[in-house]
Amino acid sequence: MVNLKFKQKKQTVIWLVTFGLLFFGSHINLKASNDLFARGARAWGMGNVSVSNADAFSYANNPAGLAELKNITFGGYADNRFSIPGLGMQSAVLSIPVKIGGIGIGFQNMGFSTFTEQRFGIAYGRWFGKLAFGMKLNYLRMSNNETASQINADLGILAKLNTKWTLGFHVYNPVKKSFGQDDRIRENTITRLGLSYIISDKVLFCTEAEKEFEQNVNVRAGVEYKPVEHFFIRAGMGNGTTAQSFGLGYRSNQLQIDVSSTWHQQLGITPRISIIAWLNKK
Amino acid sequence: MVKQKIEKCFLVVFFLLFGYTASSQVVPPTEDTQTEDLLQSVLESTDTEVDFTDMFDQLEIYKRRPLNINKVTLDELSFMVVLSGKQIQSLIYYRAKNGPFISIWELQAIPDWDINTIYAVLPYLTLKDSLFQKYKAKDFLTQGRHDIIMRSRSYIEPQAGYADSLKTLGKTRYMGDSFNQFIRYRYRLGSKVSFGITAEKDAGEEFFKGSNKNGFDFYSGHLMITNIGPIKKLIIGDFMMQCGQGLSMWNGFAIGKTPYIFSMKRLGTGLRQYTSVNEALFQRGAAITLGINKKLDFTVFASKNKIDARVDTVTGIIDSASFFQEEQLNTFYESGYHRTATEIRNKNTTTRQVFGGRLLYKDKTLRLGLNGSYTQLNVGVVKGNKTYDVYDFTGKSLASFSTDYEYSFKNMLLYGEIAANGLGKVAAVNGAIITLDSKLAVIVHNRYIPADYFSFFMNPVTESSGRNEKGTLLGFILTPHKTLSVTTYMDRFTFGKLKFGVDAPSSGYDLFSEARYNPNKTQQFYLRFRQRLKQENTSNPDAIVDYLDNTLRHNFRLNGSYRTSPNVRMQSRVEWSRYKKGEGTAENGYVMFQDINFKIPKKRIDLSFRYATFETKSNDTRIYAYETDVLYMFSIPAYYGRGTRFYSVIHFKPMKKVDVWLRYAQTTWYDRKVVSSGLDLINGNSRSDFRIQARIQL
Repeated sequence: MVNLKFKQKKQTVIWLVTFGLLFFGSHINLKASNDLFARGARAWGMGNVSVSNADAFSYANNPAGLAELKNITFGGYADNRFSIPGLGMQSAVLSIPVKIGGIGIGFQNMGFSTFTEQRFGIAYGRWFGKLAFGMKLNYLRMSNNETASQINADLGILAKLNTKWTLGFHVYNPVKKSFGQDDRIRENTITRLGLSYIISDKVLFCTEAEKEFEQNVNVRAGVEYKPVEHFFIRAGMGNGTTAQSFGLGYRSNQLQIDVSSTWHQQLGITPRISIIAWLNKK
Repeated sequence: MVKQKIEKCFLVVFFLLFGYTASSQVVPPTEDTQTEDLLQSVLESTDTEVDFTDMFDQLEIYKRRPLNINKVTLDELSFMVVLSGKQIQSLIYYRAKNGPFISIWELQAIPDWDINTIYAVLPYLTLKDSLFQKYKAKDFLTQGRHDIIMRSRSYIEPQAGYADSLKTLGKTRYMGDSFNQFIRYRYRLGSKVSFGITAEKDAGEEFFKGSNKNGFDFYSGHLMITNIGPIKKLIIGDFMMQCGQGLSMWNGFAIGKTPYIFSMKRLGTGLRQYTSVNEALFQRGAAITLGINKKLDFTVFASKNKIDARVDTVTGIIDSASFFQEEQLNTFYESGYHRTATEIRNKNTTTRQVFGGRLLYKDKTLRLGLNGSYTQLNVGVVKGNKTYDVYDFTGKSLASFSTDYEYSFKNMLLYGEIAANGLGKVAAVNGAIITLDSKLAVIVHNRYIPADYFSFFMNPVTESSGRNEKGTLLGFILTPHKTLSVTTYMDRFTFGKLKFGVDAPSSGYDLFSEARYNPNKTQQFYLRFRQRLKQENTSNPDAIVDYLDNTLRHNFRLNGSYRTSPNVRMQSRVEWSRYKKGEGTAENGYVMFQDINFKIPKKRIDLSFRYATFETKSNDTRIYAYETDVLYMFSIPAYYGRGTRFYSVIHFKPMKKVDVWLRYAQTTWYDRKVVSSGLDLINGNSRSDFRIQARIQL
């Protein structure tokens, strides 16, 4: 009986958080959201909701997800922003399970001849009971005519609330680091908080809120559905720039291919693709 | 097969037990309450008054003579508005797959059916065949039911348009008195025969004089007979056709984008009798539906009626010696008002003839319709000279074709309509409702309606005026617990061509989220959030060219309804709205109200009250709220300005077969000395409205 009451309380807390995200976060005019990271076409298919899901792109989404790693995993990603030539991003991530937890190494490149932005990083995540912690070190390099660079860090948490609910928290660059000596230009801090709800072995529902300094709160929700074995349909929505997104995925024992398309209010459609390979999986 | 049967038996036993326990422990909400709640939500984004007499009448018939659940048709179920299109489909599909229902409680086994829905439709469904299946000639006199409804209403304060001084000055004025009068007679013999006459006069229209020497301004009538041999339905008089998703032919009322997202999937039921008072959107003539075989229905109709439009005679020059004169139709008027000299002049100026048909194939999982119609006017339509009028229809006649489909496959329902008109312009609506799990269902609804597509009777689900729109709505209903549900949708749309007040292609979105909490049968709370973005011409006075500004609207509502005793029902609401255009300052508005409804069963009296306060900065932050009205009437006025509003409705039964409703409503503004403008202007800061309705049932 006591247990039941506790359970109910926990459910209430979960719901308060969910509604908090869905309602209170979203009452402001939302101008931009963060599209800086190669989060994989699976996350983008679900409206760019990723903080509470662990997958091959945990390196970019939430390093705590690396704790769940079981095989050596390679992830490759490419997109073309708003279908405009030159506005593309490419990324590769290699994740390796170690004795306790997992390590991820990644690289991403965005831009064209006159402007490029590159990120390199190494991440580590592991379990502590029902909580997983993760962190990542990033090297960020931007070049226009001049070049600026910095080293910063990510922190992430995944919490298994019960068998169905997972809470995720992630902060990128918590100290709002500046580039070199010039402290007028600083890399922004981005905080995300989200929940995943495994409704059944076929259906996953997830939602998250994202806050970037000087930008409004962004709230998103997404669904992943497995109608038949190996095959996924995804859809997502949000009040930021990613108003709607749709995605498809095919997964075999060794390989997963995901595609997605997201729609931006003014700029149009962005196609994305990612490929995941499990290298030592039997 | 045997296993299936055993499973089914277990299922039935389970639901019998569960069903009866449920019914013995809780007081189910009355079905009317639920229907009202739904209509409230469905209607609550428009400033309208809607007459649902016909629908409720039909429900009353079903209540007296419930439908056999093993024989009930899609058409019959569609009158139960609490059922979404998806739920109706689910029932039909479930019955086809699992065989006849053994118990009424087996309804709980149908996917998408929850216990509240079942309670709501329980009075209309049964397992037995109705006792009066076959009628004899004498039954027309003894078994039939007669209904008469009379309604009258008016504003109390004098409005400027009725002033005698206008008459002496010869200025524009309302020719008639300020009363709205309505009378309707209806005869029904089960659902076999229906005969009805409706007559109406709007406020300001003349009555038994002037332009209306015959009395009322609008008359409507119909005679309907159903199920005689191969004739499934025969209607002489006024009728409506509702096909597919409303792209080519949809007369009468239609549900648009609402919080009940699964109702966006329309259920085009074809031919129906018309008894409402909208003076433009119906057909007048004869129509027949024939059942060719079990799976094939064929409907054909012909209609001819006069409609309101501004018709001008223009003179053109052929050469220096000869001229020609031609009539041109400039604007259609669908309001049905004939109050001023101008409105009377535009009355019935145009003759519209329509011929059409529908071929419907239906089996257990598929519905496939082929629709065609040809509309002819006696005067050619010309388009305006504004830039956004470029794609408007011109000409005297137009053919329209469409094909619509609905297909159930496993947990998926696919639906849509593809239409083309005689000018070769194509439009499409396609959608899918997928029940991913008992806890989560998703809808995707796409429409593609180019600016140059047109049909005289189009009425699809759209954000804006119906044409010039492409968009996709993605929505879901998540029910993590039986007391809790979350509905969210995101609709994005683009208007590829110019519109009134929008001098460039534009786009926008509509985000809606609602959490509903029903802790028990007597309490219901919901929290609703809505954010809408659209683009409009800037109001920046320094702008040299009208560029587009984003207009952003927010609504935030908390609503609670609850019973404090079986006879007392309360509802409280607070709603906040916000409007911001471009870089301008944001405007805010709020409405707060308390409703009380109580019944005195012994005296057969039913009382409803509301007291509301509101303050909105401007008309852009106005807030709509549903109000209880005389039976079958639904009013959803906009609250704007700063003031208070109250209303009271009394319903009593002076005799067994007579019902009387009285309603008095008053709004008082504290930020103005006159209310409204033009002919509707009232000198003073309040406006009161009185209505009386009587119903006699024999």
